[in-house]
Amino acid sequence: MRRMRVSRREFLSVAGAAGGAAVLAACAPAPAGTDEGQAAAPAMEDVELQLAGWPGQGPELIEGLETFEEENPGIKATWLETPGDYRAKLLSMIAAGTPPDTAFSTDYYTFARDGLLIDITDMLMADPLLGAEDYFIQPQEEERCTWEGRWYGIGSCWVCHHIYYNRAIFEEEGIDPPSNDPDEIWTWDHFVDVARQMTVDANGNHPGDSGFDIENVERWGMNIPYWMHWSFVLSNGGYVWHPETRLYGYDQPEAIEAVQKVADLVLVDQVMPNSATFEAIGMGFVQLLETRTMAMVIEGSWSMAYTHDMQEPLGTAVLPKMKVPATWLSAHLHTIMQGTKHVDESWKLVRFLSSPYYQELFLVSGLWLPSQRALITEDAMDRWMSLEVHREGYRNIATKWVPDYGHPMYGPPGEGEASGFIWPALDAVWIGDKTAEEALLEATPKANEVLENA
Amino acid sequence: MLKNVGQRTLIQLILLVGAILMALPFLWMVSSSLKHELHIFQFPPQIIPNPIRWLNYPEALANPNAMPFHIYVKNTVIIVIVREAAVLLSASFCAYGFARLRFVGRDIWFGIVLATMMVPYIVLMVPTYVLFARLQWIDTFLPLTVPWFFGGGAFNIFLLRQFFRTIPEELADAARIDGCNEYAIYARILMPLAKPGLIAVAIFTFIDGWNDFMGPLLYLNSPENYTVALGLALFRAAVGAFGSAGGRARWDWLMAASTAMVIPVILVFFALQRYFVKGVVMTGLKG
Amino acid sequence: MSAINQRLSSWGLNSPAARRNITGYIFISPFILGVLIWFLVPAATAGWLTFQKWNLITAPRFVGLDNIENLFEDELFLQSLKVTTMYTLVAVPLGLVLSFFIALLLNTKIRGISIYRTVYYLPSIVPAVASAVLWAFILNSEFGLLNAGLRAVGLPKILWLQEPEWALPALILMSLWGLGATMVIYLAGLQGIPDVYYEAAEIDGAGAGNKLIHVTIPLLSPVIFFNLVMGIIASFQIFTAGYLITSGGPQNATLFYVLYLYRAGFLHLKMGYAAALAWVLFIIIMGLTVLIFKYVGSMIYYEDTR
Repeated sequence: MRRMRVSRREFLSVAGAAGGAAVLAACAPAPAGTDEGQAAAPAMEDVELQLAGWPGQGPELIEGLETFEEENPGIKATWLETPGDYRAKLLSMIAAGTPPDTAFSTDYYTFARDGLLIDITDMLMADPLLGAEDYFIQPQEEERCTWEGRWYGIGSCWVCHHIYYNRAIFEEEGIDPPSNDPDEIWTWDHFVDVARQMTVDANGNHPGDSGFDIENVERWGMNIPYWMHWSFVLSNGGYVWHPETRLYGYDQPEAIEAVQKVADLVLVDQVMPNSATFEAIGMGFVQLLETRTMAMVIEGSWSMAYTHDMQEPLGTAVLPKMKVPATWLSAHLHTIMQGTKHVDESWKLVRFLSSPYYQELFLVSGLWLPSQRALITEDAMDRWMSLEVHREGYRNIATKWVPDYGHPMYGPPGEGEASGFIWPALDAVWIGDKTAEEALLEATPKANEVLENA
Repeated sequence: MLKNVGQRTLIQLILLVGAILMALPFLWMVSSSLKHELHIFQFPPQIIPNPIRWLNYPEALANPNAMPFHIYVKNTVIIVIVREAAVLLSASFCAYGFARLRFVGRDIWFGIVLATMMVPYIVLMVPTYVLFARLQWIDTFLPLTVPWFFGGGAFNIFLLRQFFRTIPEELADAARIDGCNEYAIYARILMPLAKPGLIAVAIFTFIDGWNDFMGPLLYLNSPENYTVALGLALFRAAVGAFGSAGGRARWDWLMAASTAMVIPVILVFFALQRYFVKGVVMTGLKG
Repeated sequence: MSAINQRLSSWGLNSPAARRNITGYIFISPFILGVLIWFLVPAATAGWLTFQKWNLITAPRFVGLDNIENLFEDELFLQSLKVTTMYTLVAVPLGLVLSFFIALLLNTKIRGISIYRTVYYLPSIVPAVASAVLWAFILNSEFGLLNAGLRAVGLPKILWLQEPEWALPALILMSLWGLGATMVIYLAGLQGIPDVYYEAAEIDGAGAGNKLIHVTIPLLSPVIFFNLVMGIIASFQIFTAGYLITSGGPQNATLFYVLYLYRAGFLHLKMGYAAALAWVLFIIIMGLTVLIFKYVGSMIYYEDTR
């Protein structure tokens, strides 16, 4: 459940699981593609499209939709925003037979499998712009968008994990900060070592020093929101869900080792507080860095958008590697819902949402990272990247970290239920009640049984 | 009863300590709502904020991460007013039947009234939702108001029945002799006499309506239709410690918004305190 | 009018008794309609669902008793039952005793009593969402009020919402904040006890303890009984705190029954299974209520047996 909360709040990472959701809904599926709609809509009236999604998109979304309406006379696009239980609301609308025309994806693969989304493969391939071979950053785009070889949506953008750190602390301590360039990536051990030097108690002791007082730490070395251990499972050569079998790989030695190493940051290395979720700490990551409660924080790339008012100098960097450099990638897809009466107009909207113009609106604030090749050229980055938002060296994140080391991660069907076994097991690991091996070898078969039957 | 001074002092002391414990969360909420963003994180915590930051209230109640608070208030007030009308009319009408009339099956039906108070409502959530969806009532106030016209809630029927039974039967008998039928007795005699009971029911209805979270969560889609409870949940999702609106946990704003949501309930309580007690006495289960 | 009367009498409905029945049913008709539309129809649907496999999206499929059989192999179902039972066993008696005790104290004539009554009652009418937001803050391990208090007296901090052994106690603590609702019902009951009883007891030489045991508790037993039944019913349906504050965690330590039901149905889209869970809950609550009526109900002292 921990992750459900996380991903609900982190609006961009919704992907497969997520949603402490409710749904309420019921009744048979919306009739698939009845054509009464086309005939029923009088030609003179505006076609009204709904785009459903979750809050926090900012004024850019409305600006984008207004531009879309200007470019497409006769089509109105309405933004339908749902707080909290977006997934619930969406499912309830589907079950009630009144789905929105277009929507941010949730449970993308499940929806695609169950025929809730319109297959856009043909429209996409026929499109002169989006159909071009080098339009998207590949192979990630195809990997995330296709279910059994067909496209049912297009990614809004990419988001990844990386380090945020307080630059001033590194300068004062005389320690070299980590880099945005994956070629200069830190090893895990070096990362832990720096974190140890950064962790200081009230008497100036570091973890491992005799007399280190864990109850009175003035500054912690780092923080990793626990669900972000995913990136380190990848980095350790493991996988969370197998790309073909779609089963959990938490019983593989690579995953177990990675989970244990993350847990040991608290339990052994003592460089991270034991209440390591932001929720538990009660501070947002910007507050953590600017109050110098922490020297480094691992967070989602979308959070760049919230750092502009940080009172201390900010730096960013790629994650350390366990074996290979790697980061989780995600972001919502824009999809057309089965049951819409306006397939053509909806495609126009989804196509518009996949245009460089629209994506760039969100790149400027730091909320998104590009999923389109045209936006990671030097020229394009001169336009949308700025030092006020993206800080020194951030281009490497867009041009190297995401395209070269990013792994799309979207939950397979049944993941929501199966995670009901995984997260409580991980909870036990984080607080040291069980070792990763004990907890995960016990929980993974149960979770995989759910996935197999999903 | 208490002659002993020592005993009195002891009770005074226990009550005082308990009262402080009960009041502390409130004080903490109000105090935090007036703190500077970063003073929230201080230890020892400031009890009286320094400086007092009133700006948290306008910032929280007209925040770009949510709709302006007054929209939520307007929606909630509309829902509550319609619901009040429904409950007061419908529940009193039914309660009259249960309290004052003898007919075949009355006690069985009253048993059903009591039984429906005990049913886990979540059993019925899904089918009920379908019903409203079929009626095309989703994202309107209808699911939150119309059902209340059908009996006004088992608890309210129960409450008013208890109250009606305290009103002397002789008044109604006299009216009957004068040729009044039951509807006239209900409307002209019982209702005016039952005013304290009706006000108590109105207060509970207000509090239920104002506090209701699940109903609006299920049935309202568009932010401009949100109630205060839903609005606060939305706001929390946006500016909480892991909020979608960024790297700052704005406890100050959250506490300001929570305080704003609590204030009307407390005002109603203080304004109508004596009727509260009436309402509670009615549940006193005798008879 | 006479035409109607004629027709009524032709049906044998014009006798005084029949008229009384008709009038009675007209008065309670809103409730009857309500039960039909908003209760029986959905309940029947839920009953039907119990034997279906349905994900809301594809057509329902009849699966017989599968959903019910699956219950007994479902460890999360058992966990949720365990959590809810533990919560009920602790929170309900604790709440009942504490609120009774406070009501006794508040039924005295000491200075400032109305202020005390208000202070004890008010938390129970705080909206659930506001209460959840507030308590998530109070229970926060770093900046929360509770740990600030512990730290002030030199105790180590407690990870209220991260440690499985503390999460449930934390929510029970939170529930005690709302004990005013029960307390005020006791208070109303206490005020309904005529002074003559106490005076008579005093003449017999009864002390405070004796008066409590021989006068107050017997006379108040219907109220205690009411609070017990309603407390158990409410406690088995607890949802909001687990949903908003802990999301059932850590390690499923606050996975309340209804929260699990909600997840099964609305998150994992197993509507048939959720319906089975709902019926089991219904049976548990009804069974407990019947048991309580049978064994505790007989101990109740009824003042007037009408």
